[in-house]
Amino acid sequence: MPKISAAIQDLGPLIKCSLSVTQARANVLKSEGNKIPDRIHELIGLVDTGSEGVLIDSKHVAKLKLPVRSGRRISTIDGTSGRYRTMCEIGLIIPLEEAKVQWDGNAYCDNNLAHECDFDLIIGRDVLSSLNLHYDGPKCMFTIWHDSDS
Amino acid sequence: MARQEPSTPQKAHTHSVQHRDNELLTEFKTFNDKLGQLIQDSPGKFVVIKHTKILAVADDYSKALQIGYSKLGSSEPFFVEQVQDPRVSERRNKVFHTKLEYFR
Repeated sequence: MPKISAAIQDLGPLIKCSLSVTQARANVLKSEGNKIPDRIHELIGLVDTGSEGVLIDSKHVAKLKLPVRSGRRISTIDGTSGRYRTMCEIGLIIPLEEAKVQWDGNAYCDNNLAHECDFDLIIGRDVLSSLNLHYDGPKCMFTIWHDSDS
Repeated sequence: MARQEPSTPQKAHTHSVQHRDNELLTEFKTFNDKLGQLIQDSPGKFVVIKHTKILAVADDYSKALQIGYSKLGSSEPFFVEQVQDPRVSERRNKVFHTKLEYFR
């Protein structure tokens, strides 16, 4: 079963992941004879069950020229209720031990996330809805796994 | 001190961003105007909008992208949103996702 286990850090459950274009975008770029942008590796993602969706630092989105697909007003814990964020089309690659999995979806963009929080993205419930998460507080470990048939 | 004018590329970029923002507002308005009907006809599905026109309603996010790209190519922006009641969407736990896929 594809999984990843890691120690819970001071900031919480962190995993290294990669950012890419979506598979749909890769296909159209290829069919048009355009170069598919290289993936960005080694991004630090915080697994956050309190977040509805993925929030990613805008500088990574800009590097891959990922297109804006929507936008929404969101509320955050610091009280910035109703703050507008654009949502970009991203491919998020999570490296599990036996395979990598790619999630394609719309992610909220933030200009200062990496600067303010020491991680590059928040992995929220939209990604986790397809995964399993075990948070072992006493052992300071967490495990994420994917049931192949789900 | 005189205010420095931005260089041409910056101006072009600013213009491009503003243009996309304006387009996005139009597409949002289109989405919101048609949301009541969309909720009745296609709840949970994904809508693809360009300006004031609904290009397609798809079963999932990937299919919505595929349709948008097939109609408009990679460089033309378009809007993709899930059709759901805004009151429900605040409580939802599944948004904008496709099934995870393995690759090597």
